[in-house]
Amino acid sequence: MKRIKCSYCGAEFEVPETVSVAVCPYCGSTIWVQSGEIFKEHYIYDLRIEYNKAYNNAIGIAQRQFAAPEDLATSATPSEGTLHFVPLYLYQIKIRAECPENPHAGIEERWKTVLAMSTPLKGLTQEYRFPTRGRRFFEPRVLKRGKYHQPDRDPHELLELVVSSSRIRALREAYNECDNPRLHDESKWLGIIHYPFWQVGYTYQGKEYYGLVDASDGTVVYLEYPIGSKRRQLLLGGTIGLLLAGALLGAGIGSVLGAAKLGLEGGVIASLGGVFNMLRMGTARIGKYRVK
Amino acid sequence: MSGGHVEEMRGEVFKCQRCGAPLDISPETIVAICPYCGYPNWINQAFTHPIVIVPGKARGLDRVFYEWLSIDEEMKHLKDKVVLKNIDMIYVPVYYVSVSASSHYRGKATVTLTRTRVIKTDKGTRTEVQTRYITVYVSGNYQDSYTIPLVARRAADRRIIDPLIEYYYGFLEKRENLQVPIEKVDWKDVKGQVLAPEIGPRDAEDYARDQACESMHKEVEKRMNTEAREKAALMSPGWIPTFVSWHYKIIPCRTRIENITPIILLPMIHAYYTYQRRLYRAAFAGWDGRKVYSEEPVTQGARIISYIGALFASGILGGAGLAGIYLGGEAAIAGGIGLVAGLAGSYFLTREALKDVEVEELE
Repeated sequence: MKRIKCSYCGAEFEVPETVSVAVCPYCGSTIWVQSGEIFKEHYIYDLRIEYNKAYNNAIGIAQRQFAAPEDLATSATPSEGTLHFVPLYLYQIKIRAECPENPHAGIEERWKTVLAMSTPLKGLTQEYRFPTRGRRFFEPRVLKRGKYHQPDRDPHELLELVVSSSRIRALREAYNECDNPRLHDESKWLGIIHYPFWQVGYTYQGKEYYGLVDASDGTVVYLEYPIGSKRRQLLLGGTIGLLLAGALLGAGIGSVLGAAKLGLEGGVIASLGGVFNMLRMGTARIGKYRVK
Repeated sequence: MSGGHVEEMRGEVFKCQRCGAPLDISPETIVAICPYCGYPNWINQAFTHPIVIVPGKARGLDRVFYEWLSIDEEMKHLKDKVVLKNIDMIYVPVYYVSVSASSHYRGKATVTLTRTRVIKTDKGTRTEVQTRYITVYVSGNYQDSYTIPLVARRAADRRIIDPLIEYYYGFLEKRENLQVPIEKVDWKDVKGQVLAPEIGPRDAEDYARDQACESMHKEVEKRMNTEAREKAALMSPGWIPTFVSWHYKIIPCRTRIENITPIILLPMIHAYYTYQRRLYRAAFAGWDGRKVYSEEPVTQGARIISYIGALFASGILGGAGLAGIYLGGEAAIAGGIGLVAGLAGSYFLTREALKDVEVEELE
């Protein structure tokens, strides 16, 4: 840990060694750790979903799952509700590949957000589609509402990663028109966004389960749920039924074709496709839901 | 939420130019539509663009939902256990951009051609497959027009919004005029939150050009493949072209914007409901109440049907498949396909039987 002083309000606080951009927990200023400079482009997403709604969304989605016990929504009790502000870097990609006759031979223009934490929240992946638009200016008062995460990835290194594929795309487009296009890359790092998520926990029959809900639009991002014991029996029974029916129907049609034993084996082999699905769900310790 | 923090950040006060009410401004706002009087306040004064609104149902949102419940084939059987949790209307800003795209394409390809010959020998006849390669040059002009719809907003839930835009496009094509200039609408009748447009018309045009080029590219590639085959076939009568491999393909794309609509504010009714405490969503077109997207419970009956389907797929296809392989000859090929189809059928049908939601979109 390293101690730094906020050049705006003068407060001192500790940040991990790896951090290059820190957010002052007292006044909310965004500071370059190396130079102590205050950084202006800091945005935040509106917290539109209150805890109760986030919890109800999570439970409603959990109850929807086939393997969840019937009484989950009525018997579960909320055990935790933590608001997290997750840091993202916002990039503007602005690339133009120019040919002698056409200055716009290849164009890539868009915004992109990238997780700025190297250890993200459980269930939150880079694939989650963070909206790049809809942000607003940062307000320090939101700090008091939730757990604030510091960005610890190098924003400039990430920029290289973000633009490299776009550069190739722009060039590839331009190669349709000329052999040696000139590349103009004005892509840049625009700033930091903090995005809110509700961590919702609930207890069912004495066990803890975890969920993550987008606190800006209510999407249930990730959710763990118990597997009901009756559901487990149903799935295992269904598996056996599938194998048996495969064997019997296979043997039946096989005997018509003059090869009953092969028919039986074929039926069993083909049923493995379904057996895989049913066993995976029926033998899981807990169920996991992920937004598509 | 007020626009107060904007004042703090920028030291500027944003007020409606017509009624003086405070405006809610975010970093992306290009035009703020005053929530009190509906006046469009352009923040970036470099341009303005007409804004029109399709007025949504002023009241009776609940009725739209319950009407769907009572007429939908599946939902009408479930409606007694359905609880409407939340329903509201938002106005989504969209553009429709017509783009003409053209290309003077050229390319060089090698086409593989085959023919089967029946050869007579002392022991009878046998067939032989012969192969030859021909290199051809392909070039030509292609031109087409595309209408690209675009949400002038952050990528909210495209799964819900896309069917809505699609549905409204039908009205535009039929020239059914539902749109009213925003200045002329009585704002007291506009119930629902208006999402401010965040993408300007120039950016919308660039995006549309990009999309049109992508669509055209696919069409041209198809055409070039056909042309290459046809050319090669013409040069060698009696031979059938099979594969085309390209040495190079040059497909430049020139675009011209033919038309961009005003920013159209489309009303969308969005509902959350539960069925036996399971949570689902549905969306309706705000102007006529037509359902454009719904998540529905998977009924016990549907699960059982899928499961029985899986039983038969595994047993019949798998059984006949492996038996067929044993029979040999052409039956072996059909048998192989049958076995794989049985495996896949069993996999996908059980997945259907176990899924958590049935999603229905507008056709």
